[in-house]
Amino acid sequence: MDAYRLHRRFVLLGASAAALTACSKPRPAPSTGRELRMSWWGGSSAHKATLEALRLFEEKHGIRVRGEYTGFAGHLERLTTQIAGGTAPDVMQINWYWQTLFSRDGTGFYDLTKLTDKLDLSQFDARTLGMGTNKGVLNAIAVSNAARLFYLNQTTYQKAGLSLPTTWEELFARGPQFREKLGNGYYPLDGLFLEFIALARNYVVQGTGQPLINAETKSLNCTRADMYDFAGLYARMTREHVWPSAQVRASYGNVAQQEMRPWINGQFAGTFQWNSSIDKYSDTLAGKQTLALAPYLLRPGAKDAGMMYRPAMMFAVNAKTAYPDEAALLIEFLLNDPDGIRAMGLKRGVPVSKAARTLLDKEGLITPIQRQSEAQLATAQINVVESPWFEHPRVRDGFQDILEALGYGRLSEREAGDRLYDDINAILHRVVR
Amino acid sequence: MSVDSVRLTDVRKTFNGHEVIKGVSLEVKKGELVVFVGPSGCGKSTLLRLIAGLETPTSGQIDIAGRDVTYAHPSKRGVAMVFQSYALYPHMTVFDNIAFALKIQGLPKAEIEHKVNAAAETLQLTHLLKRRPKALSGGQRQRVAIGRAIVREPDVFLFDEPLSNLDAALRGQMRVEIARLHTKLNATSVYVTHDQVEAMTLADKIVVLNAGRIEQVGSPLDLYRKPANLFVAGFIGSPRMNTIKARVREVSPDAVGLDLPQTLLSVPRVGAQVAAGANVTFGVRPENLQLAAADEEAHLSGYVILIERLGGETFAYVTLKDSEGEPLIMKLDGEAALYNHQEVRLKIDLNRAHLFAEDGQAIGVSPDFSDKTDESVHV
Amino acid sequence: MYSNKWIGSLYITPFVIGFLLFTAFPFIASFVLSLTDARLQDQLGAANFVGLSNYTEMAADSTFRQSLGVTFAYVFITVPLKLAFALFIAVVLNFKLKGIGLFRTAFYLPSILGGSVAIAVVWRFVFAGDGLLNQALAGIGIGGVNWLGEPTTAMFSIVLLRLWQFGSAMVVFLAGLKAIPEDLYEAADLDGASRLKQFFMITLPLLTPVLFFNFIMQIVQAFQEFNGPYIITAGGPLKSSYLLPLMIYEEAFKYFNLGYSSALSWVLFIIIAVFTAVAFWSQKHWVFYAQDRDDKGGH
Repeated sequence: MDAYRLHRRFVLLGASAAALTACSKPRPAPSTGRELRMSWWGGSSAHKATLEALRLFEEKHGIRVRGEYTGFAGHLERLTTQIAGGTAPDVMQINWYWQTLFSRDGTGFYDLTKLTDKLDLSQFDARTLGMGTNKGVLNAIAVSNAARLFYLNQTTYQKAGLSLPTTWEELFARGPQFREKLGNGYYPLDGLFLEFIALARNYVVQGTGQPLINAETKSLNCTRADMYDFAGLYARMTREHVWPSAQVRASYGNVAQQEMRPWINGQFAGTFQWNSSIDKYSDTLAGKQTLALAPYLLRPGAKDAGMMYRPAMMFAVNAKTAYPDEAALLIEFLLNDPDGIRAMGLKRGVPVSKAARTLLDKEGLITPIQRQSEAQLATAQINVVESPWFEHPRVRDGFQDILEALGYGRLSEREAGDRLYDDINAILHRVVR
Repeated sequence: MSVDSVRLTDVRKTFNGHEVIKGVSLEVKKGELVVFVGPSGCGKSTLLRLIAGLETPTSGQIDIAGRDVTYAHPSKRGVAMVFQSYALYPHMTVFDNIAFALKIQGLPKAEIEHKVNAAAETLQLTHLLKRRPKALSGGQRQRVAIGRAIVREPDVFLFDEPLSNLDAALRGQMRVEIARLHTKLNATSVYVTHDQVEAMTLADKIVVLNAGRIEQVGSPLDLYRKPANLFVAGFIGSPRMNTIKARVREVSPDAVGLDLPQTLLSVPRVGAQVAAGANVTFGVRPENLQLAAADEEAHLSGYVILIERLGGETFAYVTLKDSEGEPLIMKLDGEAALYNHQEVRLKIDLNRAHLFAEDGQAIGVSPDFSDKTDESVHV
Repeated sequence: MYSNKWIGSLYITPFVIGFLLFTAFPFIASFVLSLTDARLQDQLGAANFVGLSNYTEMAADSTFRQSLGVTFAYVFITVPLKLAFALFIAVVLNFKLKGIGLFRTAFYLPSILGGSVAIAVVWRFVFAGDGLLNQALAGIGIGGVNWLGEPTTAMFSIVLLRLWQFGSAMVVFLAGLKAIPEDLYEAADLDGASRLKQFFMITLPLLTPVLFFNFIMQIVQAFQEFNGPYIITAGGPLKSSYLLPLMIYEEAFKYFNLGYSSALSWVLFIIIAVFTAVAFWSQKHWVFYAQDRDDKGGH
């Protein structure tokens, strides 16, 4: 009996001990084998390139970096949970407007000006650095700046025997032309509601010459008539077969644009997309189809190009990181070091760092389409700086719900315009702080 | 023409290539209670289900009340069945259980009530009508099952081992009730059981089945007195008949001389058809063996190896001297003075003895029974 | 000395710890959160106590009302359909036919695959405008339907995603059917009841315990449907498939409104609890529980 009891006791204690050791937190890496964590999103080619860059970093500096990477869908949710829970990585790739979520007062991320011995900030111009500064604290460094440009499926347009449009009116004309020459399934341009909202914003701003959102007054910076234009643009583009209707797009279910079958086989023949991530879209095209940069469409008498030119993605450092110097080293490597620059290439758009640009240009690593895009951006008149609140989820969804209702015929054009003006203003009042 | 309620003509049934009923023919007269009896797997339940229509024969014909019902639906045969497990609808009250068939038939409510109450009265269930089966005892449930059958006023009642699920005391009681019911309703009934006591006490006629064949059909006493073969002899009568291997010494018109291991016997026999020198089996029931008094002539001698005292009677197991066969069982008075290992001398009542040929068939009959009406059917 | 009680308690500590950490604590925490204006990206200390204002806000929220309506519609359509279908198939599979085992496995297979994310992605393709279903319909000459693009039919694809997993309910029904003694049907045959009458007067009443169990399980699961709307339709079009669990998710992780989202999830919890309670109370009126019927002549 005693032997039995003893045996049970030891088994229980042994099992508890094993369980407890399994629960223990991983010990911080000893200083000789330092390990950083870095998170980012992207397509598969971006992942490959980044991992290669991290490998080179480890070779050079002896610091191991653990990469945590996902697609874009859900990345913000994940990062938010990590930040709230105190488990955020040391270096994070963030979107420009996420600064309003995490560091409105500047304390949400590490102050990079404290790390200038490791990070060369002189490679970045003042405007760029400004877009990463909150209440005087430099929270994030832009990897590349980007704007949405018109990228059209060259192959499909050639098949239709049509040239790329150079004005808005020509774009509108392409709609019926596509339908006539290629059939009902073909459209000259496409995108999620998200993309259309950006397009319409550009259109309106070209007219007003002002940012669409005024964070001070917490309201729209335009007139009701401008919102009629906004709604009217959607109505016209879907009516004239320029842009697939809401019903057609919804029939494919909840899918990313570049993964939709009509995009892949060239039927939806264009996208209004960030130049920094255009590779993601050309990657999925089937066969030998190619994308071409189309001329940027301007309204006659446009006061500004209306482009929302802002950091495509930024690197920030965890405010509570245990390795600030190492993190700075990593960012310096990725953005300014020749090996890092070469490894990353153009996977995150054309880098904004002067050193990177010069190097890539010299070594001929900038692809023609990126070169053209940069050239188009360089010559565009971009004075308007949009408020990051434009990309707030509630604001975006506010626009989307109304456009969707318009698309499904629940609202007339005029009603949609009124709703846009009234509802978006109300939303801005509620969410802007 | 015939007063047969049920007639089976060369009925066969095969399950999965295995023939379970091998050509059975029999008749049940109107008002008779016929018992199908036999060991497990003999096919008695199958036969009952064939009559009920829950199975269809592979070949042969079944007639009920003069109609060919071989392929008729169970509800159109004029039969009602009492199941071994009673098959009461657990979610319905006793009243609804009994009334079920009538409701299906679409009888008017008043008539249903009248009939159900009548049946309930006959079975003393009136005070239980509102209860559900789970609130009843085994005996009560069984009466409800019977009530359900009665109320349909069928041509034939079918009973599938209805008392098997009851304990011994209740079984005896219910047996009496069923017998009384049968007398009162004078209903044609086919009753299946494996218990030969039920068979003997309830039946007007017994059908002994073995491996899908009829061994013998006859009244209970006929089967007891004149078993047609070894199987029936061993099955009917409890405890079972003792058997001893023997050899025929000589045959005469009114007796057969036998060579037994211990002794020579002359068994009174009429109609014996056997040759001298043949190997036979000699049978004697426990109740026909007695202890020989000291001055009496004895046929056998042996030692007592086991005594079972039941109070009212005593069973003694006796091994014969110089014999390796099974011990004989003998039935004695409850107060019989006997002790284990006692040497005993046995007397056989030769007028109640039995004789069976090598193939198991009976040889002749005892002269005491030779003039009794014999309805035995030899297969 | 070690007593058995001590050892016993030690054996159950893993479960107790797990329960406290992953069930009890989040349960209580979410209720507390629902009374605050917590934001997901802020530290919890920054949240303010706002009493029941999240709940009053909910009452005025038209999106919530729409989501609630959509959720109720979904549950009231899917649960009866699924139960009826599962019962029907179970009855069919209860017949003794050759190779019936193969069919039972085949019908149960969808349940194993379930309604996971992978299956939802497949579903998205099946119901797309150019998807499998329309291709099949075209094969028999019926024009394509915009399953996912029209508010009326988008819900249909989500309903079907749940319906096709009827296998688990079916198996439970099968077990219930097999528990009904064969001789009850034989007695009914002799009494002259048709197969249909037998189904309604014998099978169904005796199946009510199993029916009750399945009903509760299905209701609880249906109210919590998430994968379908999230993967296939994103709650659209026009919020026609915007089930409450999806709204809870979006409020928390898209709009970072942790307090409001917690309040929503508590409302969902109360709804499910009310339904379950009503179902349990109604038991005594329609569910028949058979007692052990084994007896040897007495009770």
